Amino acid sequence: MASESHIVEYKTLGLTLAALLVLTGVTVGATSIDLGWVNVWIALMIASVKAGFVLLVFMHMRWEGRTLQWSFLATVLFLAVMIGFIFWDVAFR
Amino acid sequence: MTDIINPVALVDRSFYFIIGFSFVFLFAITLVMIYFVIRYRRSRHPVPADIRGNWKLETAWIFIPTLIALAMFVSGWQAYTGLRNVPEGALEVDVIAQSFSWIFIYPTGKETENELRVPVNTPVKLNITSMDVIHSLYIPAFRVKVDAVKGLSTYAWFLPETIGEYFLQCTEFCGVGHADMTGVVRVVSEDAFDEWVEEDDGW
Amino acid sequence: MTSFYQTPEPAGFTGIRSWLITFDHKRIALLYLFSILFWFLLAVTLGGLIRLELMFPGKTVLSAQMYNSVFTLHGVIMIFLFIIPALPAIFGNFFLPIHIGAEDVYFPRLNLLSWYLYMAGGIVAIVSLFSDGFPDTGWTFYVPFSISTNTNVSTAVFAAFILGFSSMLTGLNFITTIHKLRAKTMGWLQMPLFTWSLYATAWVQLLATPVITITLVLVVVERFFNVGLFDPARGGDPILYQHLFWIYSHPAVYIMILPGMGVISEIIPVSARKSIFGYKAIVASSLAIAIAGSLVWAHHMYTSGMSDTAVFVFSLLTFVVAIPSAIKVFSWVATLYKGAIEMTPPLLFSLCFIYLFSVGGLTGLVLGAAGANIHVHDTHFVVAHFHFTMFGGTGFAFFAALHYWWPKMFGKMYDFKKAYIAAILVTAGFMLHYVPMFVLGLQGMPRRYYDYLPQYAAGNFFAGFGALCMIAGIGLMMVNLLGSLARERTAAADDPWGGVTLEWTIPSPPPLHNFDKDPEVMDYPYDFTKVADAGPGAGSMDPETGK
Repeated sequence: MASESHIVEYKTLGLTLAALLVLTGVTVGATSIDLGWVNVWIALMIASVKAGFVLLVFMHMRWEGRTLQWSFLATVLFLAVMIGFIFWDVAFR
Repeated sequence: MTDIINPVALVDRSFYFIIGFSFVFLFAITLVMIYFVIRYRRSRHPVPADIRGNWKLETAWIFIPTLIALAMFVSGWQAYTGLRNVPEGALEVDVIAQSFSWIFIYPTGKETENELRVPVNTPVKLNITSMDVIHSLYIPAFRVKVDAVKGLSTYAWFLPETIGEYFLQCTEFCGVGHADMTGVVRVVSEDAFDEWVEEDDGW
Repeated sequence: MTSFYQTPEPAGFTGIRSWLITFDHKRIALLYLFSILFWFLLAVTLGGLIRLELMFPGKTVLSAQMYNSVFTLHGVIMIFLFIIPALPAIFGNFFLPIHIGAEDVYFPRLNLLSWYLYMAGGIVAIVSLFSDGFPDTGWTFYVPFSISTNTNVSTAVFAAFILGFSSMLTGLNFITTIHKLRAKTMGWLQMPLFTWSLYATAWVQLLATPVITITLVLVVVERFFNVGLFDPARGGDPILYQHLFWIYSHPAVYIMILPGMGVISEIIPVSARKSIFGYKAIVASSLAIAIAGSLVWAHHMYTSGMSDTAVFVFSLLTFVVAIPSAIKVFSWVATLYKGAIEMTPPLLFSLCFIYLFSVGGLTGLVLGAAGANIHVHDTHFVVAHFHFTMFGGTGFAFFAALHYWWPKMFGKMYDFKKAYIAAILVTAGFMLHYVPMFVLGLQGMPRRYYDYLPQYAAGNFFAGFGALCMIAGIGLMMVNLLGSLARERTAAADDPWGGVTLEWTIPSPPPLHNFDKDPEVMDYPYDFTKVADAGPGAGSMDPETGK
């Protein structure tokens, strides 16, 4: 158990929400510039940054114990390896 | 056609190599296990030794099986490359699977259903696809099996060396008629094949 | 001392109803035990029907459509309702907290919820049977067949979806329990090996199960909305489904076998009264199996049309994952060396496990080799192989665990003679059942065949005969075990086998609160020096009285 439960201030939550909204705006804006295949990567990057904010602040991951943080990272890594290994097939078919 | 290595030999060699080792291993481990249970039964050997490990022995039985396993992998991979590298000058036959039968289309445009007729001593390449769900073409005699997938073109090849009849089956479950989706491979002489494939039988 | 059977009951919840609202891990384990036994016996019956149909060529007891539904149902029930939950949910729930000196699991309410999800999944599976015809896709639900068939795939897939949640929550619960509730004096390397195997299993459950739940959702989405995820004509990938399915379902076979290996690692040292050989190597191999086993899924797909590069990579990794399993087998046999071995029903089942699992593992090498696999893929050879590992492995570990922990769970001892006869009958039937199937597979008989070519008749007849022997053996075992509950004189001792893990330090059956004083944790979990010093007779029992 996280021995003391952390209460996030309204200010932090508000700022995070604002950042998420701004990034949504950026995503929409980025689609209007045609950069070919780069577009997809830009959209994915922005989405990952947003997901990071949600995880760290809204889902309290910043204030959790070491074990939980590592467990989460391990899970992301596991997923990345799984998807990566599918490319042994798809990329060489 | 003697310069072409028939992959059947490679597959069988890999199989016997692996199963041979497996039998030795299984036999040894079972005998040792039974011997220990009888030799060290409590009524005869009441005071157990306190052995908790032996790093030399443990290293040995990590290292040696790893080498054997890698050798097995190599034999399997050699057989697989044999099955995948089609020799030049192969007779190409298009195969279309559908629920529940096999259609074979020859270079001359001739079509057959559930019967694959090929000339002896000529490598045959099958280009396979499906009209509906996934099927799988399996000719046990030639160690050939490959899935027929709609929207994907897969292939297999084999070298029929003896005139005769062999059977083919569907091995990917495809519905109520799965078990009936069988056919026959007729290996005939080259002359008989040439005559047959040219003749127009009203298809 | 009053056992957990005599828990005070809240008003309005007496008898069976008090069990349905219990948070006690021991009671939840027993709820699982009886529900899982029900599904197991049902699936055994279905398996018997399959063999009966195949005993003679042509149509005998089932129609082709019915046959397809029966093998699908046999697979779905055995996999999702029996093998995956059997060892963790019954014996894990009962003994994991006791093994680590804890009062209960970390989330007792979540534990009860997992059981309800399990039951809900089972009920949905039954409903799908009676609503629109049970799906005929096999437990693999391969697309596009599972999307295009007009049987009731969605409901069955939904059942598997619910069961996935039950499995994940159990895994989560075990990981948290092991991290947080270990007795203060118990370090990681003082945990029993069964607990270690559950820990490795729980991680795989937690990480891999979400993949199957999402994949099953995709199948349902395809059935209702026809999005085209797997349709190449619309930019989909026709074999992506198989990747996603096996990303879960291959690690799932390790979810099934790891706890079984844990059980054997408990029984062998206790029976030999000698420390397990290479404790650390067994722990490490459990973790190695959990990690490496998650990276070999595409060895189910050599013929699927995937790239040759993928075949190379996955074949190589498959051979790598064989090593840790071999290490375990060597360690078990080495543990017997210079022990003081007492033959008991759990030991007999464990020895059968080692033999049958070795056969399963070694034939797995044939399947892992790329070229040799092509010939036997999707034939009876594969069916025999995975029955040797799943049934000869996990199934026999389940039988061994039942016989090993039965006296602790119920405080009753069963009849030894009947247990031995049952073990021999099941093993002999098993061999007669599955060895001919190896031969059939090499002759080229595909799996999931309702009818077959005449050259396969002899093998199928023997297999059917073996299946009947095996079912008789299972029946005798159940009668023997359940019959012991009704008999008064067979009360079991607290430590009938001379075990040293913590469950044997408390009464049989355990009291409501597992430990009335802080449990004494040993520096080394399999230290039998004290038991052995007490003399040859200590801990061993008279099979007649169970004392």
